Amino acid sequence: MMVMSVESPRDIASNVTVHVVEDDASSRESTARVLRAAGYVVRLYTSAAEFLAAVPDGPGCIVLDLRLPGPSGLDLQERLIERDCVLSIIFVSGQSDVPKTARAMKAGAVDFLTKPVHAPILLEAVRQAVAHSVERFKAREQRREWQTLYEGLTDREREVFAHVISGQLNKQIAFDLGTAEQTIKVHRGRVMAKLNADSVPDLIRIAAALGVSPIGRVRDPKVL
Amino acid sequence: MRPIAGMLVGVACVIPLGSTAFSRAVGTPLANSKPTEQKHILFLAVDDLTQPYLRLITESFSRVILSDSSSPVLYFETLDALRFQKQDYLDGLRDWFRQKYANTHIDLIVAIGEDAPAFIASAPQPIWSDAQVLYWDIGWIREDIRARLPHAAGILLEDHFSAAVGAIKRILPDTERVALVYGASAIEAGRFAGYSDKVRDTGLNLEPVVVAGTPERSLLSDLNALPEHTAVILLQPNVDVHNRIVSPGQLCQTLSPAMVRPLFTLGIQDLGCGVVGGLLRDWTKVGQFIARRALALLVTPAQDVVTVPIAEYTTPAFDERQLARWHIDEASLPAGSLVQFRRPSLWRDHRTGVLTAVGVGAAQMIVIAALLVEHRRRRLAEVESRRHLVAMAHLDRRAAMGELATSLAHEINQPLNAILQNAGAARMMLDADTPADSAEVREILDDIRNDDLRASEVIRRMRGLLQKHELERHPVDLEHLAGDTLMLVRPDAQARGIEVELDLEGDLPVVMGDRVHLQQVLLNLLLNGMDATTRTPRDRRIAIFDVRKNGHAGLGVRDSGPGIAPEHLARIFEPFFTTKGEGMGMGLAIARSIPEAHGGRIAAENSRDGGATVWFTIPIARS
Repeated sequence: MMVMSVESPRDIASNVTVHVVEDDASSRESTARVLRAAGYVVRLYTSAAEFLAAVPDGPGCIVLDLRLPGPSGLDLQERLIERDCVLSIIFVSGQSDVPKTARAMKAGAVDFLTKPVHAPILLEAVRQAVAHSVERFKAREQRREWQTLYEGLTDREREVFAHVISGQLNKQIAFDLGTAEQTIKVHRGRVMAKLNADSVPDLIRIAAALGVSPIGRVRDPKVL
Repeated sequence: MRPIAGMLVGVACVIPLGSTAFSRAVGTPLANSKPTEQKHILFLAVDDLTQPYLRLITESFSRVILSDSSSPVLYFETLDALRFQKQDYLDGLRDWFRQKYANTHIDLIVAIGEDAPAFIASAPQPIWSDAQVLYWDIGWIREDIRARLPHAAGILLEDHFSAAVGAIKRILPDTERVALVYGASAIEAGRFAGYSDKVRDTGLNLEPVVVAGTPERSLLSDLNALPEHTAVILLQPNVDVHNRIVSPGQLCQTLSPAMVRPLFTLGIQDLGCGVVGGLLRDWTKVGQFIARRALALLVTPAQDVVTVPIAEYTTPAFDERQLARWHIDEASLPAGSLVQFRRPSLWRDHRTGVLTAVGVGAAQMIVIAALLVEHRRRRLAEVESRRHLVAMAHLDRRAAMGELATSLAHEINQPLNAILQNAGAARMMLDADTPADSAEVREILDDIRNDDLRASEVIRRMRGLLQKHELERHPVDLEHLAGDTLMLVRPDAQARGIEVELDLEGDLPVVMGDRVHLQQVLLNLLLNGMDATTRTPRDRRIAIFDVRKNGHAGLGVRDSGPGIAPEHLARIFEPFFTTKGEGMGMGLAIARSIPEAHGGRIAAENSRDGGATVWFTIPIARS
């Protein structure tokens, strides 16, 4: 399968930023020092509100203090999910609070560190989080591209697309849509071309990414 | 019938004993009604019967005679020989007696004084025929009397003069001279002629000084002119120019107050007149002795002389006032001495009063002692209650710190975290291929140091409050106290979304108190305030403010909570009163006892905009 991307992987790595949201100045500075020493681009925030004022779009991670004045770390996590943010979240907390940890992990946090945090552990967590974020970033970029292409399809082509991803043969689709098999074949070819897909599995992947539901039933050929 | 008549006679005789007119007054009626079997005793004295020594003798003599079952009849006569000495007087007196007793049979004549037996013996015809004679003398019996009254019985009192002088020397050991004072009469000269030798013969190294016949007006100056360490002994009664008989006792009363030498006499009758005392003739004993001998003679006539030893008729007796005057220690007195005329003694004279006073005093002492004990017990109880307060306060502080523990742990964790990461970063820089920027490493080290200090500061704040701590008083800076306490609760407040602010007017006075306990009070108020703010949907705010009032100063906490219900306002400082559901309700009770132990107070009210205001004040330190 051919993967389309706007930026090269190198570009993505260089674009990675680690965001540190921490109200305690000392902890914030020292965390930043560790990350900078490891070569990361670091941006610092003193509160969740400050971070939410301009949510960055690129890949990277947030080293997020659970306990913050104003909106808490968990509040921030919820907002970011709403905004389809690809930044991975590493929670840092003074105490290991099991319910909060569970909630954070369920909501997609990649790690939960307890202060005081050893520099190597932080870096390993950041490395994984960034990698995860880059993956998600890439996936999101792919999905956005496919979305654009999908939006270029005509209504009939979208209908045919929905039937194709259900695994139906052209004949069955034609039957369902009350048209000729040949017509369906032309539509299918146009859909494949427009979505840059080489095969039905490609189409199915795109449909999954875009959340398009298949239409029609696949009948047993023997019954046919 | 007889005993009754005898008693009547006795009464008649005893009653007028003091009167010189006695004989004339009762003589005639007695003669007319004389019972035949009764014995009649004539008491014939040389000296005036009213002389003190004779009064003692006659009284005791009469008492013994009249109490006898034979109920003798008594007659008293005197020659009054000191004043009347002419021979024709004596002859006339004999005639008068003869007339007087013509119809009265006298069985026994008691002749008192050396001239009395002479008076009887020298009569050409006996005045009282067939009468036995009992005479009496001191020292020795004159030979002429023995010769002229061969059938008479005698009583010889052993001469006690030497013993009396010895007693003086014993109580006044410095005595060197003894002055013998007597009158100018021939009788006296005769009586005391041998006394100087008696003084010398005592072997006590004493010099006799005779002061005889000195007129009374110059007697005092003469006696006071005597050398030091002279004891003055007044002997016989004197007769003054007005023919008054002056007994040694009377003389002493005049002389004694101005005397510079101690005065002595020989008879007990003079005690109390200003004499010191000594071994004294006890005339009461003498009277009794004579009476007993007289009664014996009435039954069995005899002609012998009975000697009375010194010890049987003398008594060592002293005047306590004079002992004190001449600085004589009572311990030096002879054994068995009688000490009279003790000066008024509270104990002797007012025993009941003294006992009452002592009792009242003792009761007072007991009350005072009881009060002291009570006071001590109260103090101990105070100490005990203070110890309880200290212990309770300690528990309460630990509970408060427990509430803050999570946020304080976080507060310590922050710098620890920063230190760990800074150390990691520095290590990474040093490990890197490119040489580390020394300025940056230095900066990291500075940060590590600062964070370390920050963590230890948090621990310092906690440690004070966690330690058990006695109440001590030192100057306390309220502003610093407020800031420090705020730092303790701020992390917790932040975690709970409560805004805490300091609302101090600045330039707070220094108070005298225990910093830890005062901080505990403020901490308690802050924690209560923070709890209160979480019970309303309003903004969560609390403020520490300062109070200054009448020499007192303190801190208070204002919260944005729902306030205190009016019915609870009066009770919130009571022990075990709580509205929170959890907790013992001791927090504010302790918060009250601490300022009170400092002489201050705590108070609470609801603010006008809702919320509660609680504050404490304690006395400002004197600069």
